[in-house]
Amino acid sequence: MSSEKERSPLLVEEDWWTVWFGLAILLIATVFGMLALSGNISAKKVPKIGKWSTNPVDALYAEKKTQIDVEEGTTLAGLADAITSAQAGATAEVVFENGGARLRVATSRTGDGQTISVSEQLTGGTAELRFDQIEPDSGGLGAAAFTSQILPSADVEIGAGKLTVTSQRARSIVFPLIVTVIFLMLLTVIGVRVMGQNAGGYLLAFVAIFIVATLSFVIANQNTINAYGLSYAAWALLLGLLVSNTIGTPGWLKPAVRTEMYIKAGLVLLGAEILFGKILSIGVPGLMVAWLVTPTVIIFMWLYGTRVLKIVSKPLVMIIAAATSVCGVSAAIAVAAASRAKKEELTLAVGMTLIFTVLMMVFMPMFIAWVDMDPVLGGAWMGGTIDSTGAVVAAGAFLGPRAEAVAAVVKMIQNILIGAVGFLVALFWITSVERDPDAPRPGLMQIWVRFPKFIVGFVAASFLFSFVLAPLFASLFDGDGLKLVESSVLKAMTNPLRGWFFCLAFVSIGLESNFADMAKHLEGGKTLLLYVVGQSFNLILTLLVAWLAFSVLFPNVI
Amino acid sequence: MIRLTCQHCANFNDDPAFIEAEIPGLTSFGSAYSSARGHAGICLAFDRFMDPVLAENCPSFTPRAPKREERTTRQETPHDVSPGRE
Repeated sequence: MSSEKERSPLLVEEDWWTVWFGLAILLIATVFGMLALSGNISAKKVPKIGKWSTNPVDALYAEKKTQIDVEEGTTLAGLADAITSAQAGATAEVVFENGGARLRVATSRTGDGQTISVSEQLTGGTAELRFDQIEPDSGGLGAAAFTSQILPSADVEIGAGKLTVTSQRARSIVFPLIVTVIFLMLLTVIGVRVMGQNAGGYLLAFVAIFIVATLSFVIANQNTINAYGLSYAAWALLLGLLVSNTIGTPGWLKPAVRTEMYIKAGLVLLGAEILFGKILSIGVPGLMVAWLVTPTVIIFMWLYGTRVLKIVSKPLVMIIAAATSVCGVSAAIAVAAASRAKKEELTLAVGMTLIFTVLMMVFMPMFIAWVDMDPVLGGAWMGGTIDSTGAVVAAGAFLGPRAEAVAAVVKMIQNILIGAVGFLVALFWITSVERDPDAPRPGLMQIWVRFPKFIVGFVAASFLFSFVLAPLFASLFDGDGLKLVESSVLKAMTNPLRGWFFCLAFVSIGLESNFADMAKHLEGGKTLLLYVVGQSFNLILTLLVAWLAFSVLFPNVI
Repeated sequence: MIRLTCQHCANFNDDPAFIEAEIPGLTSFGSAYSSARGHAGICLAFDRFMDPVLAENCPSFTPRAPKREERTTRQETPHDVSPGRE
């Protein structure tokens, strides 16, 4: 029964494995990036699901963007020649209508039904081109053509600028997608196996969850849906919820439903995208939000629960207080262990936390967008209040990358407190609740034992990016090191893989959230009142401190 | 001399898979494999989730059957322990 702790925490703790996953990916991406920059191999990219309008199959093709420099004095006819000769997967011609001329750009029809789009950034001159999409071609392969507005003649000068031609069906991403799923599956199954989980069951289940994640990206990348701002995070969550609340999440899928593992691995990779200095600049106001509010809310909820509501079970009060103010389930298990809670008390607190976490994860970003709150302030507010790290990242993703980064960093700063809260609660329990003079005091080592180690990986990845890889790339390839790492390592590999990890986590959240099961834990009375009053106090205080920290004292941190 | 703790007791189970099965909802936004759990497990005798403590004064302490390699090398018995708590 009690055997797994005899092995090193480096091998049995999920937190450490997420560090190994993240750093392994960063290392592999760095090697590929260096080989590509040195010309030894062609640039390798982790595929991103493409955009589509009417045919979802378009999503499984990569785009090819070709930028055409247009010189001053170029005529409409000259621009048509330039587009055609750029070999951008498109041909252009001038068509005459109603006594005028317009530019028509269409598929070259050499590929498998390429769809092209044209955007223009021409400035100056006598004409400013605007392109409108016209009906797809009769081939029905998704090809389309674009025409400009009617100009007086083909000789009109259209000024200088850059024209981008996007070929949306440049090449299929099906094979790179298969390589990606195999890579992620093999990488993570090592950890799953060593931790002693069901590795055999994990393999098949992982593929199934990856397919749902792919479907989330495909739906989110439909142009109309995309225009409404419904991101992949929302669709991943919705698809997961749909499965769990209709047919129920099948048992064979559960070995790969590992929200925490995916989200932590993604956060380690996020560290590589944030400059170390930026973490420090978010960190100062983040510390204010996380470390000022958290102890205040714990003390408030403890006093409110024990003295006002007079709840008999003191462990239950403490677990709910810690779960509300620190980081949900993780804090709940740390504090339950320290206060020796009954199993049903922990179960009740976890269940109640889940319900409000899901509600806050969905409604807080909606409220923030509705009141047009600054995304940085909104991110900090969500990071300080939504109970779980996974839910914080999902809610941040609904609002965009800035909110996502701030929310994640604030939450991680709050996560650091888990060990300290567990230690202090254990001490408080012995000295003030149980009042057992013979009981030995908890060791300070407990703070490190419960420290969320993935944060070490997040900081290490940022440090590597800022102080190792950037100078190394600058010296090896003679250029701006940061930009070189960004283009060849981060954008090519780690950023899209982070997106996949997050998407897998959001699908997992949905698959784990069954409303009927949750409702069973929604006990009314004093426990519910404690949570609602405590969380309301948390929301108000966190918003106030976040506004003070991120809008007044330290504005423009990101 | 080994001081017996809950980790030597047959009633104490700190297997993460067991804990996740026993606490519904734990895996939704958490994990029994995470650092936050520390060394905690479930005491089946008292139905509590707790960090392991010294167990020699515990009325429900039941020595855990030693693993095969322990049977051949271990000399101590449960009576070798000192009283007290950790």
